[in-house]
Amino acid sequence: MNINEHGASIRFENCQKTFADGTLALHSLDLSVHAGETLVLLGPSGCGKTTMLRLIAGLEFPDKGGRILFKDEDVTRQPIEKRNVGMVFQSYALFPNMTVAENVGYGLKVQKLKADVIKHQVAEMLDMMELGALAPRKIDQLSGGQRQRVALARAIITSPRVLLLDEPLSALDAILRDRLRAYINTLLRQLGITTIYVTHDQEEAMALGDRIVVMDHGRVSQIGTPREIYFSPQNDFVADFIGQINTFEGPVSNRRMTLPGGILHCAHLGDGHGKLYYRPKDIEITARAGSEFGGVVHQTQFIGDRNRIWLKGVNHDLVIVDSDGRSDFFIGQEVGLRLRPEQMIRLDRQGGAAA
Amino acid sequence: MKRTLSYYLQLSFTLLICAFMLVPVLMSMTAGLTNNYFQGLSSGLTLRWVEEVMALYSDTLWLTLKLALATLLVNLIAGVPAAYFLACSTSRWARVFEELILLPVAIPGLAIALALIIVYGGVQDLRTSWLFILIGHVLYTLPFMVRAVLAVLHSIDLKLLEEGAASLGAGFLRRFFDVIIPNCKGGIISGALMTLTLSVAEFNLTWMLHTPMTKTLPVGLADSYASMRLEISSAYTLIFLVLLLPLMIGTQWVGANTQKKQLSPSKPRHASLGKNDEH
Repeated sequence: MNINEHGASIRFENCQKTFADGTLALHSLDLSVHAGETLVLLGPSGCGKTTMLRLIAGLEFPDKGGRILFKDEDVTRQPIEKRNVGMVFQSYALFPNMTVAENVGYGLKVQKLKADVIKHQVAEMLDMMELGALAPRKIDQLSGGQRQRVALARAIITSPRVLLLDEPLSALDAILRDRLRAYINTLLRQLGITTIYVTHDQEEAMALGDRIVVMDHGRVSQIGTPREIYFSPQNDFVADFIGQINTFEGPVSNRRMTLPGGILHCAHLGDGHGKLYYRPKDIEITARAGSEFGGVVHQTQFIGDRNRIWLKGVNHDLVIVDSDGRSDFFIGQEVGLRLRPEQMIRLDRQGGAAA
Repeated sequence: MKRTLSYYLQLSFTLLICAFMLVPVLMSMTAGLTNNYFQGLSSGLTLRWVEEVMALYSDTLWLTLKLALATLLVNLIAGVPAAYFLACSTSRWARVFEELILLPVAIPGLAIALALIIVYGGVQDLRTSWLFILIGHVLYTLPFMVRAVLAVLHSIDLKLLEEGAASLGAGFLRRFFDVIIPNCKGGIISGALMTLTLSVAEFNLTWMLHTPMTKTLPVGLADSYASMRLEISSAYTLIFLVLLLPLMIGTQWVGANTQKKQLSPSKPRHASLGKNDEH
């Protein structure tokens, strides 16, 4: 983690948000964001992540009793223009009446800096963002990726206390998204600014976040580092939302789970009804003969670096397995499966690391 | 390209319609420049009638210009912010109000004037002042200004632009003048031209509201048609057209230009997709 005096720590105390129509968008929440940290708010649409971002921004205000602090300063009732935050919007919110340079320099102009100082700083920023050649262009003459970088430059030029990014990459195509993600990653590490990043893309979240807050229906499902979230999800929702996962569910007796595809060992489960979780790449395909657990190939897809195989007859749902791209499978083929206990994903409700 | 009979038939029909509309205007214009209309052009061309009109009616010309500019000023100061607040408001009453301000367009000018006289006619100083006519003109033209600006405001993502400006530290007034006004410039200009055109040409209302001391150009025109010789009223009409035509052409031109701008893809549409998240 990169601590830098530019960034302020953020504290949420008892923050809850009810909209005018009575919808409870965010359940009461306490949360701390360290100075200089990149915190990703991750979840499906409608989970409250954007509401939380807008609360931090000062575009929405928490219900009575809630407090938001930047460092030690109570900013709860401050509107956005007083908070000294930088914000990048999903659809950019660039000003069509201004050129690229004017857009980037607008925050400095509002601060009433001298024209030559603004000009100098804007030129520096545009160079850093590789936008120098575009300075005199109007916004409607830019591509999506260029607009995104202009929006970023505009947000960070004022050295804000907190940088807020609201799904900044979701309007771009896949290749551009990957490239910009790497770019933003480098930039955030370089700046060391406290950043809140909202996304519904789990890959993006893991690549960028120091910590991830997984949200569901206005509540925090889990907070943790990308590794903790991926390898030790605390509940079904997180396990399912972060990457593909296979859920084996069935009766357990004598440390064995009986499934349509055979017997699964599960030393940690007591008798009764149990659940086991495995990621597709952690399941190994073996020969059917001699294995006590297996199924039939339902469909396969060759994706280059791997085969993705859907198996039936193993579990109640199809089981997804990723195997080496070099081996070949045909539909209807009978295969055995080896599931190693050490690669099992455990729902660790205590939140400790376990893998 | 070979032109068919139907092409020539359509062309001649179009020309016929144009002639039907334009010939009387041209006749009237030449009448204003002819020495003696009943003898025809052979009597020679002259600016005598125009000069005479200026001597007789120049005060109506100045009053008309003053009224038009004052109406425009009021519309800019009242209409643009009104349109902004209507566009921002999500309340049902804002929609009702939007329809209400259209009413003066539907109600005959005579009725509006009558209502104004009934309510304010007793206030002598106001009744005899040109400001009384100004009130009428503002009532009549304000809807056009508000609608023109509203149309543009509805077509841009106003809230997003404002949030963008606010995130950079801009307070309300800064946002309004730096971002809102420049981005609805097209609507303001077309609303302004509309206001000027309507105000200059307005007759119904003005005729009811005017006093002998506060006569506008169209009212003076009616007056001259009734009591002056044909050449003078024609010359007067000529002056009226010279005043009005540039405004109307300007309105058309701005209208065509903004339409062209809206048709050209100025922002990537997909950028606003998926925005329904939590709103």
